[in-house]
Amino acid sequence: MAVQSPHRTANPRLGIYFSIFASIVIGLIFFLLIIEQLGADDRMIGIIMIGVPVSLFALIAVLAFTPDVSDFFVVGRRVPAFFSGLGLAITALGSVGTLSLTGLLFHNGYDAVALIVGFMGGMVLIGLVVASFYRKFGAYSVPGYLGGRFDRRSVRMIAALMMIVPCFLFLLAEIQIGARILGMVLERSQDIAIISFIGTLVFMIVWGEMRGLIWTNGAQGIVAIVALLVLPIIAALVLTNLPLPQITYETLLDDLARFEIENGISSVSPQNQGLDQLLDMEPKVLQKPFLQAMGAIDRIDFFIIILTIMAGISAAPHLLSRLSVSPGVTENRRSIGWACLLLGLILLTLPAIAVFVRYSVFDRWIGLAPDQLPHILDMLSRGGLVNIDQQVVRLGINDLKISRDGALLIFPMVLNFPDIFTYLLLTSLIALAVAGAGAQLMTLSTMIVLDIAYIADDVAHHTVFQTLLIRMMMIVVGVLAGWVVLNIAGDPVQILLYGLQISGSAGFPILILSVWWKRINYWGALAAMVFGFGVTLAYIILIASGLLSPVYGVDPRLAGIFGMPAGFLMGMIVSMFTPKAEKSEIELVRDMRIPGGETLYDRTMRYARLKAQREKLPGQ
Amino acid sequence: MEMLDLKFRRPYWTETRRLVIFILVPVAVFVLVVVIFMRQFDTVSFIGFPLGYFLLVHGFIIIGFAAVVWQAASQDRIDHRHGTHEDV
Repeated sequence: MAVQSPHRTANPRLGIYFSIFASIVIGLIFFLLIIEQLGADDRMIGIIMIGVPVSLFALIAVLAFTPDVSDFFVVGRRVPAFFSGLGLAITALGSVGTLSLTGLLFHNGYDAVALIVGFMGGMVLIGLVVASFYRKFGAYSVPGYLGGRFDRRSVRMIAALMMIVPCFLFLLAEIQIGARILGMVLERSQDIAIISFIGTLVFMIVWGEMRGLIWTNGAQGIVAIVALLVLPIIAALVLTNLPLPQITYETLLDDLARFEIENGISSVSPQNQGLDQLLDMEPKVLQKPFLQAMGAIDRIDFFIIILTIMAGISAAPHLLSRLSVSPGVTENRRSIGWACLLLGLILLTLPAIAVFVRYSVFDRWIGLAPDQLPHILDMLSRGGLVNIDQQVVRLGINDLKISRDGALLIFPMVLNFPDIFTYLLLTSLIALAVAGAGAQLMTLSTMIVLDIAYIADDVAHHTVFQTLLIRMMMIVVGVLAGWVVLNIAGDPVQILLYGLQISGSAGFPILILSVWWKRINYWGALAAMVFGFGVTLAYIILIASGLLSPVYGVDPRLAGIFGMPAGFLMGMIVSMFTPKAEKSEIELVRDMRIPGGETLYDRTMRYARLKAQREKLPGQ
Repeated sequence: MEMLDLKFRRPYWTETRRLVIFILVPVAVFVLVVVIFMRQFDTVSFIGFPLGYFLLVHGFIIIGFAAVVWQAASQDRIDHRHGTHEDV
């Protein structure tokens, strides 16, 4: 009997297409490098360097237009492991992770390692405890999974209402970074930058939702890898003679410590102000030796940061919803492997960049006259990212104030690389911001339409009309986010941290329990979500309003450490004291734990379709 | 695919669970030990880095990657042994 496989095959020319893209980017870099040496206008080079890749992203996005529902939500479940892994890795980090994490490492050295461990740990945790089961279920969104798992629409609705909060926070953070960089390059005001960034963002995502996202992510990942992995290799060759920045930056550590002592940077101790010292985003003088451990935060905070970021990343709705695009469970496991490899490589390289910048600032910039600094640094000064005292004759350590988000951007300047590399770095950050914000925009509008607006309808009956609604919702959410960013400016990293706390405490307990503990029932699920979310939010609000002083000195930006255990505990207690889950539910869990067989969400959709057809038949 | 009988599923799940615990617990203990004894580790220097720093950055990233790859490979083997793998 001839059976048509439910799995469509991936386009065999995928590798060729992305090789062509990579060649265009590399060719463009060399071309502009030559043009720059010939004395072309700096600003024109910048605009070409950023414009060409971004227009290619837009081209891919438009080509990804699809009228097909399955293509729209899960790319027809046929994305090869490498591409979904690449997308996962760059979305997990996003532009906030890349730009600010390097800055945190630059200013705080050792203490910021907690964030590296947290990001990597989150991805590892997704692979170990969530991915296979989530893919076997194959839902289009995390609330869709929870609603199907407990067979209750109320769970789906409540989960969606809670997951919207962290997603929206992540979106705000990404937009801020993206708009800031765009504003610097275009030399326009922040407002125009925000509007043009949102316009680009919505344009890239509105054609093919997940399909557009996955394939543009492939291209964005290539740009990010060229900028974040190749530039440090060149720097490592210049500074340490070996093209392996991840390891060789140790040769600079001794000299760096000597520079730090010469410039009077001595050990600091945490001043009992939570994370303020760590996260400070204003341009500031270097204060802490790179290798001093526990100078900006104490050991407890260090550990809590690891734990809460890990939980937040591994329950982040925008990452989990992309797990459904793999053709199967085995392929999905491979894609997490790729994601861990690529994310790990980037995370290993960021401390190297931080050390290179720190070392070179001491080695090359201290002692120069202010007008000897590279001309392109003015761009960062205008953007408020660095603050250099122009009055002094020779720059001392106290005349050079570098902000957290400027540390990565001065990397090509401090090494006297051609300006084109600065623009390459800016391009990669815009690519990462579009990738990160696009994922949030998609997850948000999918959740709003599928899990909240359509809750009264048959939950698994997806139509073309819904895809139109989601497209419109993207525009609405984009405009709303733009309006918020225009009016309220916050620190992107803090917003990201708050988002991770909420996603970790509302999502993590229920995700783990729903797979690994068969006893959990509908009431337990509700309790786990509501208490996890409620405790975290209550702690944040109580501290902010001054009604509560920090319990055990835990910063509100780490509130997840209370919410997460509360979610686990209440989920378990309530499940134990309420009737056991129904047999059909337990059967579903058993089915979910086995990789083979039909994807459960597709099965539900097939049933829903059959039911709809039967209702249409006359005389029934 | 026909539903697997319950008596075949149970050993499959036991093995799956054992594998995850077997991988997850050492990784968690590793992070915990390095963070708790960071100061002691840092007094030792390893290829130029303080040992604690090296273990947290390079060590954890390598161990995490290895854990995911190892789990994926072993889980595939378990799937095939119990006939629960996908049929495509």
